[in-house]
Amino acid sequence: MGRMSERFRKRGRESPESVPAKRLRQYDATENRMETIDMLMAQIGAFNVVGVLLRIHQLESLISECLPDDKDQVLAILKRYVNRPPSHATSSYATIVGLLNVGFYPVIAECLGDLVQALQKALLKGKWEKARGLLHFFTELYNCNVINGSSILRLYLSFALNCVADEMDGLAPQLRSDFFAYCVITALPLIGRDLQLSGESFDHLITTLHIYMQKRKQSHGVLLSIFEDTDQQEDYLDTFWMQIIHLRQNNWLKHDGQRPSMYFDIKLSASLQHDLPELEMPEVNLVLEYPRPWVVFRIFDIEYLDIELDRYHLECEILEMFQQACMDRRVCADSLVTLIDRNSGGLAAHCVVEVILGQMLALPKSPQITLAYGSVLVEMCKRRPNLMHKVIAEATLVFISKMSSLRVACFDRLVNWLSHYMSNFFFAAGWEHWEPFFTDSSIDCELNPLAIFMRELLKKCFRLGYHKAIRDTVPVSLHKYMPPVPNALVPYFDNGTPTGQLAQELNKELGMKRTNPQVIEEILARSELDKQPKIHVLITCVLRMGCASFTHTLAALKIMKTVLSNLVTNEEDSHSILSGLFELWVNNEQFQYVVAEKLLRMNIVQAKYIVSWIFTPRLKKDLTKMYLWELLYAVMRHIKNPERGPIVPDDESDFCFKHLMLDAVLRIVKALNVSFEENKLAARHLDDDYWFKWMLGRLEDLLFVHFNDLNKIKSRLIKMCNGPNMCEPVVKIIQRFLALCLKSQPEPNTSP
Amino acid sequence: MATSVELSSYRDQHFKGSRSEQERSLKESCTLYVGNLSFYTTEEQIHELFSRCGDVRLIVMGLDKYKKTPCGFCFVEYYIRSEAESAMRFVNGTRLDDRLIRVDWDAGFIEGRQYGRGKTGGQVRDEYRTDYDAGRGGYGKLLSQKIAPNTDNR
Repeated sequence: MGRMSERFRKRGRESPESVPAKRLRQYDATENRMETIDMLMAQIGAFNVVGVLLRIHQLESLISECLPDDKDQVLAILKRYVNRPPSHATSSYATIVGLLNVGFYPVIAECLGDLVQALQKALLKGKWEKARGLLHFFTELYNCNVINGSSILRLYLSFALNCVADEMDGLAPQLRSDFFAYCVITALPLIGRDLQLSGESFDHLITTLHIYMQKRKQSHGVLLSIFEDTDQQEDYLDTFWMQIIHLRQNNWLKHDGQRPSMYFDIKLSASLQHDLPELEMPEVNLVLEYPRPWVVFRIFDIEYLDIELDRYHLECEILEMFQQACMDRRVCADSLVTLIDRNSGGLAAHCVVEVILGQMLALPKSPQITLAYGSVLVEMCKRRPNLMHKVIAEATLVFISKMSSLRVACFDRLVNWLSHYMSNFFFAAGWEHWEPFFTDSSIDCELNPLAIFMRELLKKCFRLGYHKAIRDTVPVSLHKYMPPVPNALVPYFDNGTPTGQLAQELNKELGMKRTNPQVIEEILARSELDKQPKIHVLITCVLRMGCASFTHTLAALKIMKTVLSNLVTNEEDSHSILSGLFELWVNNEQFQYVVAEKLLRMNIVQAKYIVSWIFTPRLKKDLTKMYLWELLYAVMRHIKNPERGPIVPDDESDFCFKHLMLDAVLRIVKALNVSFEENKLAARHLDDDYWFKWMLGRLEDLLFVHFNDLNKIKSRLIKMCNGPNMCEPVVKIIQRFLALCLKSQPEPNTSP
Repeated sequence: MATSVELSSYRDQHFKGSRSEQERSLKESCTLYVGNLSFYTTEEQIHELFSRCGDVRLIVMGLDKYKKTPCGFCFVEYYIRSEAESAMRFVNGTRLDDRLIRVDWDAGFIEGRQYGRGKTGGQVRDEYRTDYDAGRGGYGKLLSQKIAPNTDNR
């Protein structure tokens, strides 16, 4: 069959109507060569490429051969790759363009014109990563002697001047100016040493940037850093700018010498330089979404990477690698391990762990789910067990030692990651190294951040693993943080009381092979108890029937669904159901959370009543535990995404979600205000009240988790800030969020 | 082992419908088959691990046809496909209860499928196994019958 179709194709091609055979062969040859060029370009752009110099050589000769005949095709391929180069390949691509510039000056001139236009378009359309990539590419083109110094300076200056002008106007979002400054500042180390020689105009650039850096307002640092003490966690732009000052004072030190262009220095120097066409900076566009600011995340002191921007470039490479491959954790782990091996002797493994954990804990939210980061780290541990476990252990120790300043909004992610990591390696991770942190008696307090961490971590480990096996690996000194055995706690009902009688009758009927809901209703009607105690007994009996597993519980609830739905009509009824659930499963928080969520999905209990239940005074202490927040977010997810449950019109679900979110915010704020007043009355310092601090963190967490929905309740938040009886710490937090919201998207001037 | 979200080469032979129908439903499904579980792994453990990829709608534990005890597999259903995809990506081939578990697409749970299809009630693979697997009842069923002949004199 295959051979036949081949023959048929051949005959078809040679038919007189089609292209003459000679031209066809030519065409084939060109196509082949284009494919080769494409392939080589792709290989150079791939991570962990070896033999870059050889490939550059091959590409140079191949493209030189093709250019005279197939200029357009070659240029199209070239532009496709340099349009958004991965940062590690920028220099290689620039070298190729530089080598071609020697023999094909006019062609490259045309190419440069297109690239400037591409940059302009990227800025216009808000393709920020592409714009940054192109600016860095121009920088490398200067290093490859393709464009002259005054051109590149002019380009930088147009970015820098725009920052200052926008800042003065006050109309543009600061994020726009920050982005422009960021592009230039991160490009400078690649080129600073040379440009310094151009004297005045370079000084002008630095002064302009300096003015901007002095004037820009920076309030997000506190909000976006993973640790509260910000000594190592600084705003990204400040960090890089400090380095530029440092580099400049030290005559730009020497920069990493591994650039491909250096090997072609002699040849490159023979070419003529171009003057870049002028770049027109686009007008401010308020509709665009600008890149959000971030805080540089550091947990390791890596001395050999003392030049911050070197570290920046390594981190860029790691991040690009991760982003490109994270959907396939094995491929991702392979490339990251190769990167570590390539930088052996250095501390690249530390950098990789730092970048991955930094992304995982990033605020407002991480780009991927926590498990995506965790699973890549697990794969890396399998490939380089000795190295990776050691680095992760070091990182974990940093987190433990700085636990009191870890942002609450990152807490759940950290605990979830660590418990998953441990469950993949027999729960053997460094208990003995952690022990010393827990010997201090001050930790015994229930509200100590370390105690909370250990307690929640152990709970999560127990949820994933086998109780006894974990118990055996945990050192005795930490046993006090262990959760109780997670069995149901069946309350005792005295048969002599009406409650006991009801329970007895219900148990009898529920124990039948086929429970008849009608009979249950009759039993309930006969009982002289008030409604809420009745509901309490009923739900206790039903849940007890199903206590063997989630499936059993769900089956029991399903049978009783109509009875329960008919009974539960208001908030008090709903709270009776929930209190029955929480009492029976007091030793098993997972059951409390999962079953409560199912009650919502079965329409037995409404979302707003679960939210009010979470914030009832009796659960105040439990608000420092993860499960209540798991439940709150699950409830909000359910209301926000009606596709998961019964179909509700979009508007309606949006309306419900908005109200639910506002309700949750209001309840936290109220609890905080009350606690604030109590502290004031008792003349207690706020720093000593960890519950207060934790709840402030949870307020932030709630706002971060729903950051993209904040616009929906923005006006209410503003009103809230101006309301009476608001304590200052809460107002401060809400204002920071509003500022970050506004920064991302300035209020369009729509005064009526 | 397939790491991505694509279909593996396994096809359920008991599927009612044509091969292409089966593939279509596999490609739209939100249900996963989870294999190589320990007999002792609980539904709650599975729930905890899989809920890290998204909200879990349902877990159906695989049971021994006769003994009605867990026999080392289950079905996990999500509300939305993309969350099931995450589980394929990040959970397949990782550890639960110290065992590397297998996650694969499933065309959707139908009553009756929760039971082992082996002659002895468990999964077929546990009949012919020749290794000792403490998490799955020791040696394979056929082998263990040979090693320790039935001493029950009823």
